[in-house]
Amino acid sequence: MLLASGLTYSCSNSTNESNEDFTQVDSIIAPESIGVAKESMTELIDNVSSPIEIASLLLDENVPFNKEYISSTDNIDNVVGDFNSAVNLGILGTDLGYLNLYEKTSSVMSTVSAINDLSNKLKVGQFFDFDLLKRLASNSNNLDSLIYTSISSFNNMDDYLRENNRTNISTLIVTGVWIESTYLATQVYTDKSNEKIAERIGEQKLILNNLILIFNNYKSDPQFAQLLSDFQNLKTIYDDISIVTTDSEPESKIVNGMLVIVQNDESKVNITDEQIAKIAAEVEKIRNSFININA
Amino acid sequence: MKKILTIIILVLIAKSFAYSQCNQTLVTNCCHNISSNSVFLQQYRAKLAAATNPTDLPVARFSVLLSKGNTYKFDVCSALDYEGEAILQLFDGNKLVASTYHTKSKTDFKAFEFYCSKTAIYKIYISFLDGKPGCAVGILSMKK
Repeated sequence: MLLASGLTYSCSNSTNESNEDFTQVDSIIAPESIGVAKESMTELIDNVSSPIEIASLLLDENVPFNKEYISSTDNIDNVVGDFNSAVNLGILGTDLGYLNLYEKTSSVMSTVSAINDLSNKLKVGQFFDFDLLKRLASNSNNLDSLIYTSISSFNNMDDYLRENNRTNISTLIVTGVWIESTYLATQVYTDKSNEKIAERIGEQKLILNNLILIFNNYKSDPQFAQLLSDFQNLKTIYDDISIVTTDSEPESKIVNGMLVIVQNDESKVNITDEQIAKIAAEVEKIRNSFININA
Repeated sequence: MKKILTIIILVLIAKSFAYSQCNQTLVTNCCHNISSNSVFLQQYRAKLAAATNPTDLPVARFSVLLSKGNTYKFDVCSALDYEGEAILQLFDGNKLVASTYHTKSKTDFKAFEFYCSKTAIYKIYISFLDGKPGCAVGILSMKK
């Protein structure tokens, strides 16, 4: 009941609740009017799985919470420039999802505060209602509202960036999300192997190739060129990981008035411990190159 | 008593008008459909003009990575100040996996749950029945 009321509260209290009408432009991909690169860019940003999903998997697998996994926010003021701010924003967004899902609301404030600082640096601070997030974080009964408000703020910011031709910033934020999600998964796996987490690490291959495609577009920028080079190193490891799929027809049924579709396709990731160790080392190196700016 | 009734009626009218609008209010109202054991993931906004050709209906296209082992729920809500009733469809490549509208029975479910057994990049299409002009939001949530 508390959860339900919390969600109701959250639905009526999202940040930046603009009453401007939806624009028609951003929701439509008109195949005849865009090139492959722009389409891929849109796909990339949409396709990086939500930071909540990796945290949800860890919870499902009874992985205990570990504060050591998340990025320190102590020296966030030292992060300079849009490039580093955007990647760090993605990293902290993932950490926020991890903290929220593990109900570590008392530890959320420093991360929310750092997100607030970084978003202000990127001039998208209007999408984060710091006072509301602080209020929600102060009471564990508001967890659903906190999760909704956090995700909604990121989504609205992403829409705004894309509508205002700042897709490069949007790309860097999702890159940060990807780095931190993969880092979390590899750290957990390194501590204790788990088949589902291994698969999830391997599945990141689907996104990695898209990210590289996008970085190629921006490689005239030296920072993007470095990121591209780092991700190409990762790709050489992922090239040997295969994802085998088999197709089957889905089943549909009505359960308590709800249409339920059960997919019968299968996917299997072939990945070894050695490959995961290599990915873990490479991802940690990339992540450190961003978060060590803070030190 | 009359005053109270007038206030209640005005509140109800205001609420119904708010729901009908093609803006963030539609998103926040639609997310009321998320059950308490689920977590909100993403919203997909679509505003489309009327079809000019009945065989080529306007479609808003999105893509999303869905992970195996997760149960997702897709809700779609249409703005009432537009004629169009939204349909949300989920595609795996060119294969239609799920739809909020069942064409044969002409049943509009407005939502469906999807148990995902294959991690892949899926396509989400939002269109409007009979190509009418419309405004809608699709809400993706995941069972915790």
